[in-house]
Amino acid sequence: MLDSNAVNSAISQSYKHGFVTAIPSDTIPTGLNEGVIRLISAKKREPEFMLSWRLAAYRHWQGMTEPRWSSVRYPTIDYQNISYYSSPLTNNPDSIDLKDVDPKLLATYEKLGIPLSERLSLAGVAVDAVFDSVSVATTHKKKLAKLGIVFCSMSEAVREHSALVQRFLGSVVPPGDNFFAALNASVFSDGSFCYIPPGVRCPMELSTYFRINAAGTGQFERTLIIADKNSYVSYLEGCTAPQRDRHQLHAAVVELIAMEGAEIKYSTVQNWYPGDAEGNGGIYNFVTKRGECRGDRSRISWTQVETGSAITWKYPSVILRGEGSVGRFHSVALTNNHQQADTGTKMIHIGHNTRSTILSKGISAGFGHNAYRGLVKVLAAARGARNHSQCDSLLLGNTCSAHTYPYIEVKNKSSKVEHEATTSRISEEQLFYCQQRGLSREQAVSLIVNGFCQEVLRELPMEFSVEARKLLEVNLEGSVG
Amino acid sequence: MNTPVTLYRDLFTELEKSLPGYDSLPLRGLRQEGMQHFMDKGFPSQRLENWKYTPVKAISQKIYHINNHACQGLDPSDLLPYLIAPLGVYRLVFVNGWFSQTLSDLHDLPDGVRVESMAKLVKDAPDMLEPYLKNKKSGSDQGFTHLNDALWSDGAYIHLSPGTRLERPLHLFFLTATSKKSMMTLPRNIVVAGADSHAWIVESFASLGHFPHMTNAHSTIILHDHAHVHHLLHLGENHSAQHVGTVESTQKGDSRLDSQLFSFGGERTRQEIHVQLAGEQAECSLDGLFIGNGRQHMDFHTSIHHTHANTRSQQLYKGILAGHAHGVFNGIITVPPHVHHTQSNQLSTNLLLSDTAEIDTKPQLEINSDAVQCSHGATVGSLDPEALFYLQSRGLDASTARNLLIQGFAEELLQRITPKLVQNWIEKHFNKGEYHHES
Repeated sequence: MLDSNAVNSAISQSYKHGFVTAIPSDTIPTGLNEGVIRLISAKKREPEFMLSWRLAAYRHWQGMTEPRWSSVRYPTIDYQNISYYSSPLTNNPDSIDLKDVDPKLLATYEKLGIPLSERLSLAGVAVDAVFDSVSVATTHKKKLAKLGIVFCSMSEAVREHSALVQRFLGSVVPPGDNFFAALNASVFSDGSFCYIPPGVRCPMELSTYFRINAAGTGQFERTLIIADKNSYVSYLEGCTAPQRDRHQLHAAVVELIAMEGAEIKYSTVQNWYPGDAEGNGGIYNFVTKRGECRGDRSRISWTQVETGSAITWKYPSVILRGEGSVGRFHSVALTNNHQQADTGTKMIHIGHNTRSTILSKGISAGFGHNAYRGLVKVLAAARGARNHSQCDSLLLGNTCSAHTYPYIEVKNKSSKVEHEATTSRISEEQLFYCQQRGLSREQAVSLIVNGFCQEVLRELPMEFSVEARKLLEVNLEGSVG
Repeated sequence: MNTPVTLYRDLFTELEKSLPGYDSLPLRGLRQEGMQHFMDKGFPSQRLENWKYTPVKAISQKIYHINNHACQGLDPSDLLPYLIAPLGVYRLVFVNGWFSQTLSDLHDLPDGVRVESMAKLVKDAPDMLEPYLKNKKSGSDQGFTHLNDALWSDGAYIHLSPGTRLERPLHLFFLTATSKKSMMTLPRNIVVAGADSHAWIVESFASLGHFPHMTNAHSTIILHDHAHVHHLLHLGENHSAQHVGTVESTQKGDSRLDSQLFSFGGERTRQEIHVQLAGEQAECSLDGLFIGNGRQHMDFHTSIHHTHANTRSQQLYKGILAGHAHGVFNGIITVPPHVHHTQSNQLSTNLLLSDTAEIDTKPQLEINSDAVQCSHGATVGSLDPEALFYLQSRGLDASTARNLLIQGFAEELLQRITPKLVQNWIEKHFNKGEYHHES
């Protein structure tokens, strides 16, 4: 059938990561109960403390109701109709040697363009790739180990570095923090763990790649990054998923802890499958991300480029506890077709002279719905706190929307807080100018959108910045009319 | 159960017959309906997003007594400190919620302008009022408004025929003579500005004495094509007063509303202003200045709904907070799909003068159309130490320098008041503000 072929090629053009890798996987039946949690814990051969932690979170979760306050709309999720664990069957479940990994899996990552093996060494990026629920391979381990850096999958960390895990896990996002965080705490299957010892500057970018492959599964990964005194780490996270006509839930938790003088840079390029043009399928990305500047003069920055997901609902936040600590949030959120985003940040100023910057760029096209929701809270103790927020929205077409809900709470006089926001569309003059210089209308829009996001994109590491630009272009295709 | 809600129901049953409009079946029905809504919803709770920062319990838990007759025995000279000017102003005075003929002054009203007491009007022409009383747009979390629907006592009805101009300001003055028996007054005002009409309306609230009391006010303003209304709201009740008020305005094509709010008094104040720009080229400007000290709580909620193309709005709210005062600003601008070429600006700037004062500000935009120009901003800060130093280096003492900077902060809003008569009056109130004594 010629027609369906044409349709297929058109679709795969707009979402090039929408392939499914046919490899056998070990997926447990759908449903959630204590038995499932025990099963997940047993499959991962976790120590006792982890199981009881999970069970406590699960019991807490049972008493919670799903939050409904946000501006995103989605049909009720049936939590009993999700499989909470899916792992690709490999020869040896514990393998970290690339040779043992299923070649099909490697091919998958190849298609995604993540340089997992050789190319990677050249790029100087250490990758922990998470395929469905299980961490597949962690590269560059030995090189990092020499510096005392621990970078491994969460399940390995639970077994090998249980003291660190026990000390820090859940200390920023407690298991009962919110509905999705509690769900994550009870069923999380894998994720990345990273510990940078005092005084170490991590020599390469650390990276995790998430991919949801199996159908009907949810992905609940948990990432924990600890930067000890005066250390530095830059961390990248990328995500993709195949095209499915059903919605899939992704409820991750990311915790960052920066000790005295430490700096963590966390960058995300999120490209989950956004659903088709009618809004069918796609990932629900309900993630809790929070960092704590625990020590004085510590720094945490979040940079995110959100182009995928049917629904993005997350607020990467920073708790500025240490004196003189700095929190930064840079975000580009693009919603096209029927995508929805309710995203923003929270900056909680607790320590003296803490500073935070928020820069949020929202782009809505098609029937996209984009909301910025942010909180800047300056407690009475946070003398001399400083915040500047800027949230700009760009509207393309008259069926999309942009909402801005900034919350500003200030409790002392020595602090300065500023917020500004604008909403507008691309003006005809701008387009005309570009077009008379020989650009097509689409190129002109793409150029203007890229310029609009420039300030955020340049915060990303080089390779990611290029990818992010391309993603913006691809995702805007067909939205200019 | 003796909750405040059931006590108000009992009070309603007791008072119903004596409230204006009982003889008119539709109006009686509206009151009963209001009570029913109030019974269903009760007072809002702090868990509701729009009431998050408002200490609703402190406002609603106390039971107030409701007076069903005017207070007698006030002398016109008692009023003098509160008046804009003894002459040159039309004046409607309401004491304890009821119209006082003797204290009011409506001489020389131009033809085509009708100014009357609501209580009187419902007796004379209930049918005329019904549509205005009915068409309220309050949301589902407006327990206080429903209570006003059920129990409103009196207020002003102002009707400007097409083309009329009210040259002098019209002062609606609501005075509560407080006593040990805490009282709630529930004024209800209706302003209808016909096509091409023009008016200055000043609504002010004050108390005699220092006992606690509560005001639950509601005003509706309707502007027809090309009408222009200045609405100035002055909240200056005593420091144990609770004030909850709502202004709802609907604007037709080419009309203009200039709303100015000055809030200096009260213990806890919550004022809402809702505007619908329901006609092309309609325009509104909402300004506010609030000064809080001691333990005052001041809470301002505005919403502007651009339902028609080519409408414009601007907002400037400034807060000055000292002592343990708590200020809240929550403004929302909505543009529905397919409404084009709207312009809106919203700015909330705040000055914190002490480390125990708090401000929570939330300027919001809900834009569902692309052909818009919209911006908003918010700032929170304190007096600039360098500016203070500069002034002191020029020979001013610290407190003069400080006052000068505070005055400079407020000046922009004070300058916008017209006519001069009203401006002087507000400046007088501003200058005796209590922020002066605190450091």
